[in-house]
Amino acid sequence: MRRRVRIQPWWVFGGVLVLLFVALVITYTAGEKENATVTETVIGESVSPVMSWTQKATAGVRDFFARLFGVRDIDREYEELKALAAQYELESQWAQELIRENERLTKLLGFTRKYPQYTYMYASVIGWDPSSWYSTITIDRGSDQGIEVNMAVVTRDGLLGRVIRVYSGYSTVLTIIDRQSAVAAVLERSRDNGVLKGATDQESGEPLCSLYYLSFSADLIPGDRVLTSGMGGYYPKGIPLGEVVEVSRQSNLQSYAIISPYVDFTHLEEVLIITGETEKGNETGETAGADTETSGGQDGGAADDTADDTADDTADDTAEQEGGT
Amino acid sequence: MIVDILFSAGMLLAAFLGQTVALPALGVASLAPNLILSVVTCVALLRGPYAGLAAGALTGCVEDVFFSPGVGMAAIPLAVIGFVLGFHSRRFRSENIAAPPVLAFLGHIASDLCALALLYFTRNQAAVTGAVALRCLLSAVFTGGTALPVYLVCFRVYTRGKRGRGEAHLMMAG
Repeated sequence: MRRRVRIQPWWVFGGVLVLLFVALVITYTAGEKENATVTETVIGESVSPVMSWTQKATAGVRDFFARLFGVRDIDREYEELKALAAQYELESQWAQELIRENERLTKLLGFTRKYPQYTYMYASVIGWDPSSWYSTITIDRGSDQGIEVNMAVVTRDGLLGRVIRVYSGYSTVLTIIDRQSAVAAVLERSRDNGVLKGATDQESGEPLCSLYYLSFSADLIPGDRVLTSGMGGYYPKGIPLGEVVEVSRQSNLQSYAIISPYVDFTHLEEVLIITGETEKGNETGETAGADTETSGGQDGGAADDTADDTADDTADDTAEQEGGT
Repeated sequence: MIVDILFSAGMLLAAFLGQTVALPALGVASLAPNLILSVVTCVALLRGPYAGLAAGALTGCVEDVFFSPGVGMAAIPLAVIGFVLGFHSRRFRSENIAAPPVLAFLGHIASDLCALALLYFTRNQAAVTGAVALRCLLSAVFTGGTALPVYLVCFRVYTRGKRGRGEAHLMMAG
């Protein structure tokens, strides 16, 4: 009679446990191995795609809930970032303005290096006279800073005008394009003298100047540079004024020219006030004058270069008229 | 029978994926219930010692293949818990819904202690701080909490078409 053996659960349990323990010992003591076993490969290959899919699905769910519950945070961050962007925009504009100002001041500095014989004072333009089309401007330097009437005012491009009224903290400058302005001028190439007066283009309204009291035989052509002659005492010698645009010969044995000023009168922000001459400048001027007298005037002042009578008359007129009203 | 096996396998696979992929992706892995243990507990209580042993051993092996330095580190505790709970499942009436959460909680504690012992014997690393202990305790509570809904689902599936819920328990014991 066969006796039926009944498998006890504990036997199965013990067997499985032993198998697992053996597997643990084998796999654990094997350490790092390059290739997985067949069993590991089968399990890994079959389960890992499902894990990958689950990971993607879970990430989608996570992102959905993150967005759902993070709306308030997103709004707050958005507002903060918006404020930050506005702040950076302001700072960027400020930096751009500083860069532009730096460029302008660098050019102004270039002017002072080009004419080192004068002493300068920096000033900002704080107002334009609206009634007379920029013919007078207001600057933020006055008698407190040592500004005096009739001091010449220049920009990086050339002569702007002269101080006509001084207050404690600001001053008014009459520009060379004002009809009441008159500047003793000389043509750089031919050294012919004249008087530069303010004018306005009849058609375009653009600021122009006219160079009067030129002799009929004056040698000038469009493109000639016009400088201050230094006669009259208001303006220092040799400062650029403008460029000849058009020449006209008149029947009364005189000529006049239309001059386009170098200074951009529509974009005035920083100016330099010529407050005096340096000692070096004085010495240079005296030396230059002595040289002029001895050499016959090739490098000298305009007065020395005006050899003919007409020019002498012009120089006299200039001395009287320079400065205008 | 086949449907039950497939259902159990599906539940275990879902628990495995939820435990190893979904919960870490959601950022709650450090303080999360042990879903695998919950399912193994419920299967063992409803289907008996062999089912519990198989569920624990096989799921633990899969977990070990992916994450453990040796096959058996997770499988042995799960197999032991599954078998022991299945073996003693007759002591609990299947209508007693308090048993699964409590047993899953205790199973989680036992599993952690087992893992701690394995770490101690294999790597000599068994430093348990207060924070770690608290985290394990909270995770065990969560495991117990998840065991109840899992148990109800499994109970509904395993007792489908049966008269009365008590018959499921009789079937399991057989």
